[in-house]
Amino acid sequence: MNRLLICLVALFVSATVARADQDAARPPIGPVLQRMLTEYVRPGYAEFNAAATDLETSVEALCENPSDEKLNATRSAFRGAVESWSRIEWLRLGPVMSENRLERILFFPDRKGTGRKQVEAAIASRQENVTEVGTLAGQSVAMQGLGALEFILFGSGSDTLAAPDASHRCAFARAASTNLVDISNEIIAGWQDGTGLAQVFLKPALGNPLFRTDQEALNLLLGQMIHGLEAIRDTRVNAFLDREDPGHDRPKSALFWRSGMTLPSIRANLEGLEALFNESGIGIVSKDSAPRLADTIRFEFRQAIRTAQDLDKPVGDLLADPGTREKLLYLDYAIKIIIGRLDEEFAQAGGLAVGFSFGDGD
Amino acid sequence: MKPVVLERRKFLAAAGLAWLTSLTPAGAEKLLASEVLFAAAYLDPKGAYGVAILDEAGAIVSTHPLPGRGHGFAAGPQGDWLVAFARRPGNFAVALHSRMAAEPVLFHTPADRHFYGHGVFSTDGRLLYAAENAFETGDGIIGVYDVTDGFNRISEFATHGVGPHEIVLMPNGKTLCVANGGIRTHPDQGRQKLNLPTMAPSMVFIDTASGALMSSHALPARLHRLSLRHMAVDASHQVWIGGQYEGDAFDEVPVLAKLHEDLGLVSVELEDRVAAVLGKYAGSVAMGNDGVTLAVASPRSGVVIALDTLTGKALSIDAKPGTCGVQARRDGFVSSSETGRFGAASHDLAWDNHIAII
Repeated sequence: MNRLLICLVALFVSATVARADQDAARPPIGPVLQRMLTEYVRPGYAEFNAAATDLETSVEALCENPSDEKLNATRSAFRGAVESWSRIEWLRLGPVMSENRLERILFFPDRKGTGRKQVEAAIASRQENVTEVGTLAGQSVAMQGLGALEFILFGSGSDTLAAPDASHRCAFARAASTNLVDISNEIIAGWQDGTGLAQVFLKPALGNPLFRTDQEALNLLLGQMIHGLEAIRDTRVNAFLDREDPGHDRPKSALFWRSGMTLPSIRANLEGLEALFNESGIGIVSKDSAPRLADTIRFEFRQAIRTAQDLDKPVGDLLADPGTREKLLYLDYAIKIIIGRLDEEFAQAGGLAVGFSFGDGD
Repeated sequence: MKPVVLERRKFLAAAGLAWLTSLTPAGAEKLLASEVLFAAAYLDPKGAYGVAILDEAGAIVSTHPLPGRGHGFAAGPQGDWLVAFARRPGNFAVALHSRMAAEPVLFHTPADRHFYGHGVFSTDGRLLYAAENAFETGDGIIGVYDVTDGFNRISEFATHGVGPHEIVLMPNGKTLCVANGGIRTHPDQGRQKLNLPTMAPSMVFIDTASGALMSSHALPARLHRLSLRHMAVDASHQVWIGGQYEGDAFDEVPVLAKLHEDLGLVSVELEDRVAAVLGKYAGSVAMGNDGVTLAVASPRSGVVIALDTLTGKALSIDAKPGTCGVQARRDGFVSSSETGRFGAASHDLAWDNHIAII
């Protein structure tokens, strides 16, 4: 065993030295993390918090004095909340990952439509525990967030919200929107200066629960973008688009099809990850070894976002028209291109493994 | 307990003339000179997947193409077969025979199942058990394949949990131990984790004769987000399990657990400095040749720790970027990385998460 120990120690020392040499040649990750925190993470959650607060205010006005006009205003505020959440939702790090906050804001995919069934049942039976935020927050995650609110505000029977006798349904909406405000406040608090997270997030170090070295931090950051793009493709676009066979398209499996926010949400998803790439300044990683790569990635993000922007119709219409369906396939492809660019060329430029797992041990 | 490495030299002994003649002269020389052989799945620079056989020094003896990304392996007890499984959600497996290297057997799960990347042979080598996902219901399944009939799938039994990952045959040769990782996935959604708020990992013992559940074990509810995935059995038949934590990075949770058929499942506390470097994430575990020393690798930090299972003390902490594969050598452990390192050797290949001894 002694010989083994000596061997291992020798290997450890040589590996540490080799790693230090490598890191010395690369730009430090600290400034990238700092910009990510102040230019992307905090503004992203602040925007969502503001949009959720708008929604809460609109719902309160609607409940107090129901009318078509107020219902329309509330629906529009819901779209705003979806849009701002979509920009920050692929950040899978920090307080959003605790207390089921992520799923309480949006539970998707929900393969069996459990959330919709629970929401419908709660409305039909005028379930009392969904009309106060205190009790709603303890219900199934699928009943609490944007998915539930979409059904309340756009699903069958939602027009009754404009009539005076919909007080239960409206109170459900009010509790759900207050819940979103509360959860976003908790997330904002978790990222504030002085919190343990804000401290360790900026400084990779031994004993840091997030990352030990600059390379690990880069790995994690890049992993956020790649896993986010993969999820947009796998769980959002491919939820309704069958790449092989139009006969297998599923427009009603699309997220937010009732509110017409399917494609706007995907567009905002891409804009959010584009902002993470741009605002963090992570492009500096490839500045020396591949000077044009960051611009290429920025261009490809723009292409995908423009494609999503042009697709401004309900998802059922987009799938029914061969021309727009073709564009959806291109969007799918455009996302794949960015994944490949980050996963292969950018990872390599940053000294990470090419086209591989980003710390995913499976 | 017999030393793992010496016991597993059979593939080498069984490797016949056909295998040797299929190799390059340099490969044949390495094969003959090496006491043990390793197998590991890789991705090459052109984007092609395969499995490589390597010698003790980490030199490549031979490579064999795979139709997609591989993950873990099952090695036949007679040293004749090596089966490479697809990484989830792949549905293929490739069996290489030591005397017929040029004629691999490719087989698949049924259409409504996929592999999880791990499997194990029965003691007599006639059956292969594989961890599978019945993805429409989300039920964990052990697929049973008849080795003597071209790996024809002859039956299956439930793992009584979601997301079975590594499976091992206990030293009695009759009981399967299965790590139900607890994470629900569906191939329509790629590798997305669909049930984190309600995930409930478990360790189960299954009787191979009847497929019946013998016992099921879970950690306390506060650890329900610790996905139990990889394991190794020590000389006293305790199962050591490496977990992957899906909760808040700041939660104080263990990454290791141990299971005994009579004593049940308990978490294992590590010294703070050791726990810190693993990042609450074990990508592979291996039991040393002594049956006492456990290696745990974390691809997050690239750290391999060697742990004395009798005292719970870390014997070494070894950090090399991107390391995840780990396996016993005659003395100590060999490890591999996604940046091409295998032991002290370096290749222009990205190694997947596991190394098998054959």
